[in-house]
Amino acid sequence: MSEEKRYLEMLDALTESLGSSEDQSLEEVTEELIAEGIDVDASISRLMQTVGKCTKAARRQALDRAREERLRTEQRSSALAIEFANLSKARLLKMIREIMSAMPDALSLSFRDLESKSDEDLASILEDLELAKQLAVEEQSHDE
Amino acid sequence: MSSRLDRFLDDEKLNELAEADWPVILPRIIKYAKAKVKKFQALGITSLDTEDLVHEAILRAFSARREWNQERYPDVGSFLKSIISSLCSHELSHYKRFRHYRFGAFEEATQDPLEAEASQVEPVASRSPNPEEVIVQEQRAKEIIEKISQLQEDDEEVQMVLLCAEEGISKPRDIAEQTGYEIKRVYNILRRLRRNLEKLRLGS
Repeated sequence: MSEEKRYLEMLDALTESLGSSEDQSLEEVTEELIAEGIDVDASISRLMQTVGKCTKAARRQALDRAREERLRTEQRSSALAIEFANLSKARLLKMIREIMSAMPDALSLSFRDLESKSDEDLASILEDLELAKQLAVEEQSHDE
Repeated sequence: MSSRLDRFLDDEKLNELAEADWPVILPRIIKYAKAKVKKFQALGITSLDTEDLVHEAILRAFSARREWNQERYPDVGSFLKSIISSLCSHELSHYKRFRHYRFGAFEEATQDPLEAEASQVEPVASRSPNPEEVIVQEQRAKEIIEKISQLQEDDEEVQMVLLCAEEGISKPRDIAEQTGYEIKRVYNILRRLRRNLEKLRLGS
């Protein structure tokens, strides 16, 4: 390492020390800033406005995302309802069993109970399971 | 619209930022930014402003254009410091392009600070410093350290802290441990050093 570079690193370390306040009370830090000619109250007040506006904007983004997500789920749900509406009971039961065996933690439905359900109920259960499966896949790919 | 939605904070991080104890965090962050600005001023770069730096760091934190590694930076304060540090370490290569944002213009510019600012922010890692500027900076750093050392030649405590800096020891707690000084004493020495750094800037 060149001598000059060493000095730069030394200056960096010194700057870190000068900016440290971990062991100081808030009052001590504030006193120092005032001594340095900073109008602490005014500065904090302006920065708090920034924080407030950023919080509001970020929350609005989160709401936008949630609304988009909800709309997407609703659209998928309607598409699945149409897809499953005309399937036979045997086919519905087969598909439900397939999903349940692939997602053992998702739901604990008794197969005997399923047999007693109407086609409409089975289509609805399948729809929920299929949606849950798709969301789990999405979540997994998002995590990766 | 896409610039707003393609990068976003997860709910947990957003809540952590939103519910942070900002009145307690901000003075410490201002102190940190002020130290960085002073370093740059001593190096002859006067384009940085303490409050602008903190403001920029807050915007970046909320817009998630800077990934928050919570293992490395477990709290909001350390996260903001890391952003400030990153902004400063790349300052030489882009300070002419740095946005000097004044708060009065905020409402006039937009109602959505994230949308407005995020599009102006370049990924910090994509910038590389100009080698010539780095050499100039290194030479200036040498001059500064030597001047500080000369100014406080007889101040044994300051010399000890400078020795620690030479070893890369920067945390006051670590300096205290290394020198055997009480922590309050270390902060007093740093105060003296800060004053002299200021004198150096005014002198130059």
